[in-house]
Amino acid sequence: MTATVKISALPVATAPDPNADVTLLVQGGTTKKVAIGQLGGLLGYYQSVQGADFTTASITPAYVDVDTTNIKVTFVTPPSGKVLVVYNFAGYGNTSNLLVGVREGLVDVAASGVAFNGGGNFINSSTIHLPITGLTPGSSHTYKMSYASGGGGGNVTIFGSTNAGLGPSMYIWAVPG
Amino acid sequence: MTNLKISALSAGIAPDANADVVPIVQGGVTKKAPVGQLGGIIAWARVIVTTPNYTTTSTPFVDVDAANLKVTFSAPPSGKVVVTACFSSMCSSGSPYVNLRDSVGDVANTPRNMVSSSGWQNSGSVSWPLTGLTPGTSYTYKLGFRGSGATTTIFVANVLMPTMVVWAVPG
Repeated sequence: MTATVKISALPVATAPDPNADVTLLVQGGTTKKVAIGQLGGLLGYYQSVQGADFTTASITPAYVDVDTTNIKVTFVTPPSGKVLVVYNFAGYGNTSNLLVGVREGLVDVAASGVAFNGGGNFINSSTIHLPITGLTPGSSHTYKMSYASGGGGGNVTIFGSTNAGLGPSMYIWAVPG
Repeated sequence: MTNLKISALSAGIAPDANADVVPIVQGGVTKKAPVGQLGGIIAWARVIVTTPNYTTTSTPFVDVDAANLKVTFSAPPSGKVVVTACFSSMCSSGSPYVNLRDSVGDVANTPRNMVSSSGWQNSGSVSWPLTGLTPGTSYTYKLGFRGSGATTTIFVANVLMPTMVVWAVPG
């Protein structure tokens, strides 16, 4: 015999695994299970609190980590194998274009050809989306924010909190599918 | 009545934001909530080609890529979503403009000036909070663009992969 227990009486779970942990879903009148990652929520984020700016002269395709220790997010891949990486940041290139990307270890996962046009020290603030597909559901990844100069010399800079009020932030969202 | 573990149930497909429901306990009472009340991503689109870029000299808005740069979703119970688009753009003179378009044409109150100096390329995202949608109704929105008589460009994946994302808004 199975005891009946109210859901509200159950123990509180920890943050769910988007691929392995499931909940009930009533779909087309049939009760099914659905992985949490199919609900399209946030998998993880990091908000930099560093005051000093981040600067590099490394030229594409040699992307480097913006902050290896801190600006990174570890997540488990949802069933779709798709995630959306979102950056919010301010910065500029004093001669070259500022490029941003995603790195895992020393491997470039995704990159922008141009985030901000370089030259003239034009400062910009923006939100950039980098979609990632083809990941293995359930696999764990640690993605780091990366950047590079588009070439042409000079530095590219992403502002820390002293100059931008808030440093760069990184979000990773599960994409259903 | 047969008891089944949740893990033994068959797996659902990507849920419909309005029609598919999950159980929630609210104030000690077990209820059902449409998936769209949980506020996640409910649709996305991306363009993976690396050439050619999208260009227009049109002054009225036109579709950037009617086949690929569009999102289709079922409106959540709140009738509210946030549609975002992220891309890199440039106008040879003046600023590039973008908007949302549907099967009828331009969606009212969605034009945005990307505010870049003439000839300067800029990357970023635009958000459109939309309200008053009919829950359960299917909507398709496409990204539109125009210039001010000069050539407006939206770059493809060699610069920044254009994306559109739709988030459900609870309520």
